[in-house]
Amino acid sequence: MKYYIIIPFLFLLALIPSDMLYSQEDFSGIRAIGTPHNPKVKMSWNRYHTLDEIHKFCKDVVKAYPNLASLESIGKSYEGRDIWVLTLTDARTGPADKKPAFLIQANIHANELQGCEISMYTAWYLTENYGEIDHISELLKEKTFYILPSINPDGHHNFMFEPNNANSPRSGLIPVDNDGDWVKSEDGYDDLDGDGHITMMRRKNPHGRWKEDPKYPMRMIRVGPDEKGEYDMLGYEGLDRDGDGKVNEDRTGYYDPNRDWGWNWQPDYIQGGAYKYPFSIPSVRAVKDFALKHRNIAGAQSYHNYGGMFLRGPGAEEDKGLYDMNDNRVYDRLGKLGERVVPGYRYLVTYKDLYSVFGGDVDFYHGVLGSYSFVNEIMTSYLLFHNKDNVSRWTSDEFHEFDKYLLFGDAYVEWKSFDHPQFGPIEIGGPKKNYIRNTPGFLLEEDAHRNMAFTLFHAYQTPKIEINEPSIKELDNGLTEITVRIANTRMIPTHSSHDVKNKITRPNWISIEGVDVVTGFVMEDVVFNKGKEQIANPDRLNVRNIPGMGTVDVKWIVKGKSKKFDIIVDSVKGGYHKKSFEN
Amino acid sequence: MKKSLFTILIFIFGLNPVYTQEYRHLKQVEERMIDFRNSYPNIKDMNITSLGKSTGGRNIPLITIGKDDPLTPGILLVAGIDGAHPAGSNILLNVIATILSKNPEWLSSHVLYILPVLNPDAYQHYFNDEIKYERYGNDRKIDADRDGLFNEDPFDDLDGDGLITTVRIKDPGGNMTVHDTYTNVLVPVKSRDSAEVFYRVIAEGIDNDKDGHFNEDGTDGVHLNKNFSYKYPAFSNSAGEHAMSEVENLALADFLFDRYNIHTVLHFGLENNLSHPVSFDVSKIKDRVITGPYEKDAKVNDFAAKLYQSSVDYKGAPKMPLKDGGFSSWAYFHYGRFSFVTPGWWAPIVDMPKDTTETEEAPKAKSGKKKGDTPYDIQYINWAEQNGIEDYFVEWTEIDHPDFPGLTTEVGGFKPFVRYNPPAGHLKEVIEKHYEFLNEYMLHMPKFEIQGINVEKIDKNTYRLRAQAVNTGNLPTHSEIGNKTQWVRKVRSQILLADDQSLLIGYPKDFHDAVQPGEAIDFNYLISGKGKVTLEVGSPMTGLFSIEVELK
Repeated sequence: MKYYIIIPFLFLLALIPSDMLYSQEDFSGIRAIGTPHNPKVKMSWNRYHTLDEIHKFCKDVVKAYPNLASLESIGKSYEGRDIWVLTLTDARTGPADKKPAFLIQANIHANELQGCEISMYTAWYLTENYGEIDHISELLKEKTFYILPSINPDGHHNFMFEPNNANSPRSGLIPVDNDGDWVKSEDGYDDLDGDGHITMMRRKNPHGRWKEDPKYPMRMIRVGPDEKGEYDMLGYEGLDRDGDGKVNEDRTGYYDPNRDWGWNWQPDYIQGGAYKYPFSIPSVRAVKDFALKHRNIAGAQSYHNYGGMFLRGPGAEEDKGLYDMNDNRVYDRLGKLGERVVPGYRYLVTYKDLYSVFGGDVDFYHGVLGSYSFVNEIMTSYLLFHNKDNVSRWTSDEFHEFDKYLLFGDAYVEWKSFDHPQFGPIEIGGPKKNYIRNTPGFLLEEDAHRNMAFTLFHAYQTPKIEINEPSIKELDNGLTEITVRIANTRMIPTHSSHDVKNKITRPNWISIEGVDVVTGFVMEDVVFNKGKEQIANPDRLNVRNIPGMGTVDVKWIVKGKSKKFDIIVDSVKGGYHKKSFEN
Repeated sequence: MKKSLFTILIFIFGLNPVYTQEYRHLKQVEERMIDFRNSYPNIKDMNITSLGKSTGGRNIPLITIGKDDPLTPGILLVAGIDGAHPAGSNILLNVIATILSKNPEWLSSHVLYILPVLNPDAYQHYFNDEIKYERYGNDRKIDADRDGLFNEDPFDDLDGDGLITTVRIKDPGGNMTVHDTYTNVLVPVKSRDSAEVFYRVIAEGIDNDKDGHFNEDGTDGVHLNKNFSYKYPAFSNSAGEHAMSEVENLALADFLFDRYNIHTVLHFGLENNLSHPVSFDVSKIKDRVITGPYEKDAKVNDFAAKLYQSSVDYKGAPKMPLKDGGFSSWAYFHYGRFSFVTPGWWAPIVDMPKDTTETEEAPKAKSGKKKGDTPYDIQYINWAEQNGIEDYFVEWTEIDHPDFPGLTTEVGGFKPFVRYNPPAGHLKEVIEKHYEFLNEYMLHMPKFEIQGINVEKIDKNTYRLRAQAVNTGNLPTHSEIGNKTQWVRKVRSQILLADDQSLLIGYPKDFHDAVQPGEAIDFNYLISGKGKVTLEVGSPMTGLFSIEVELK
């Protein structure tokens, strides 16, 4: 009998590609700890992927791990590109929408590419390590991850394939009239030297106020007040295309998709970069619609660059009161852990430590959904020489030094002459579009892993509900009292303090089935028998919150002697849990 | 069974003559619009279209009269955002009818965008509801009390009259009492010593879901006039999940943002800044989030209010401040346009027969009560009585209320809708007055005259050309707030040159902030090359004005 089983099994083995035969255990000495050794989906994490590659990656993950991953488009961008969401969870332990979920979105700003890689890396790391690392398996069993690797695909495509600088485009591709001349996007950058990068223009002038840094000729520095200079700086590569005496004054974009989220949204004259109204940008609206349909999202992460920061809200000073002490305790623990796992990154509050801004993603997730949310600003000059100075990335010479000794001159386009139709003879050169903001290749995988670790800690801390053994007491009058303790064994409550105050998410429903309920109580104190009776539908008790690392007690009085019954906890952000008991 | 229900309904409405002079239901509104087009073939550029569909899939009718053109100055006229205000829709439609019949001259150079019923889902409840209540929301299904259940505690028609009115419960802890003279009317308790009877008041209904709250989750949807983004009242009842969440609001905003030519919006709704203009308050524009109009814009509000009050001269407009999340303040603060709103009709103060007035006024004077303190409810009763309106009030009738056993509980009060929606016949006069106001306003729209043309020949082929473009209208070219937002286009002045002409200095186009009435823009060009040049000035909100000048 055994014979028959083994033979087909061996036969099967022969069909498996040889490299898959070696499990990670076989090569425990060779496997670099922390990285899947023989991933089914082959990826390299020292590069930036195109949209097509991102889409292919998502499909490959689903193909390789059909029980863990699924892919759907949640809508289209302005130019008609799909916004993809990769849903990860172990489907065998329950449907995705019945578990606490964590949403990861990236690339709302076109030129901020790291998030695409980090979110893909996260999907890859989770699926490839499922069954290998217990903690990861547990995460996929208990939680759902909604991963949106690019929520601004138009901008992503433009940044990669069109001539740009490190800062362009930040927005999407909807044309707007930046300069107020009734015409939209009519005077953008021009790639005068045709190298795909929009670099700087300088002009020799014996009365100029700029000179080259003698250490790094690509670096232009202002001369002192009594010093003679050699150059004028003329801004980014471009022409006056519309004959109004201004260069590059009406470029692609200008609005900011991260001023479009509908929590205390403010218009453009108050909040620069705002578009027409909350969620007036199609890709942002698609994400919002998705989030509102998935109320199990208990935590959210948005990846940006630059600055090495874990930012929490409030974004705007006017929302100061939005985060109370209870919620801040959760945020502080997450943020502080972040500072530990990503050295050089700082945990900050947007409005007071960075700038006061309306309409950001973090405010939407916290304010409208009541979910704990962070923005990570990837990349900081700390990563270059582990130096914690506060010099701006545009004036610091570290990027030049790094270029010289670690990149060997790869990061800058050297000055070369050009005959400009308006300025005359000039020189063009400067940082490539993929330098300064976006992490250099050999640092990218580490940055991705560390930021993922922060995010996974956050996701792990979303509620985990446990139904404890009930205590059953028979009363004299033929009635039975059933008391159950429900625990949340993680830090994040089922309802944030902001959520409880504003009744954002419906209460947790704690029910008993299989008994004839006379009445039910949400208990304040079991020992001294204090509680609140729920008169209507006592078999399904409304519990406003199950606190982080805390418990809630409920009690029912039922007819007769209880035999078999089920306790169900149906929590929007804490998941659906059912446990049967027998007396 | 169905048939008998139908009979009951007819019976119910038969009992309520106050609703018999019905407004036009949706279908009839659309028919009326088609009728406009058929009746006035001489009026070109009249288009009957649609803004889109409501949440409940109903058509949102749109009429455009005039050229829907980026450089034709326009006005938006909108009603029926507040669902419980069919009078506004009626007034607007009839104002349009008057415009069409009079065909004023300004019609040929302006465009009117008319949305008589923005919120058809709510509007149709006035006609169709089995049980009538003042409904403001669209058909979105909402969990108003956010307990996870939908519509589990609606109103209940306790007295079976087909109307949702009020329930008063005699309760020494209540904070309402009866009016001294009008003993049917409930007023807030001012002093507990002087009042004799105290009531708790709730809307007609029971606590269906036994949660201690009454009627907190009924069938009403999202109130469109709470869902706009200016001062959006997050988490308040029926405001929606977030600002601008409703298809009706989005359709309107998208329509407006596509049109730079809309200079002013006039809204017929349950707010009023024409009888009570919003005054300038410097403290409200100090912070970065401004909460009051800029000074020049407040002046325009005053100007419009004066025009309004000289046409719409009936007295006693109740104070109806602009609502948070409402359309009208949004149209100013977030769309940057001059924005006016009026209910169009309210029960005006009527002169009471002498003897009654005397007996009533005398004690008031003693207690130091100022004139004009009369609650609107009383004002309405006086008007209704004098105008033969019957049956606007459900007399208090004792009922057994399951939630208040042992307490005296009565159902009664004003019938829904009546206080701001009189029988249609009573609107005739106000329609005429609102036409007058709109006509006057249009005559004051901004326009440019180019004057003071001065050509100076500097050399044989070189000229200096100077002129001024004066706003000869009585309204600014656009709002002061419009200077700050990209959604209002600035005034453009330019010189158009022939190929063999050029400017010796500067550029041919300039852009300007709002030009106030009587203010001028200067043209000043140094031109090389003789022949004709054109000076042009204007904006989407004024249209373009130009003049040809010969340089010789």
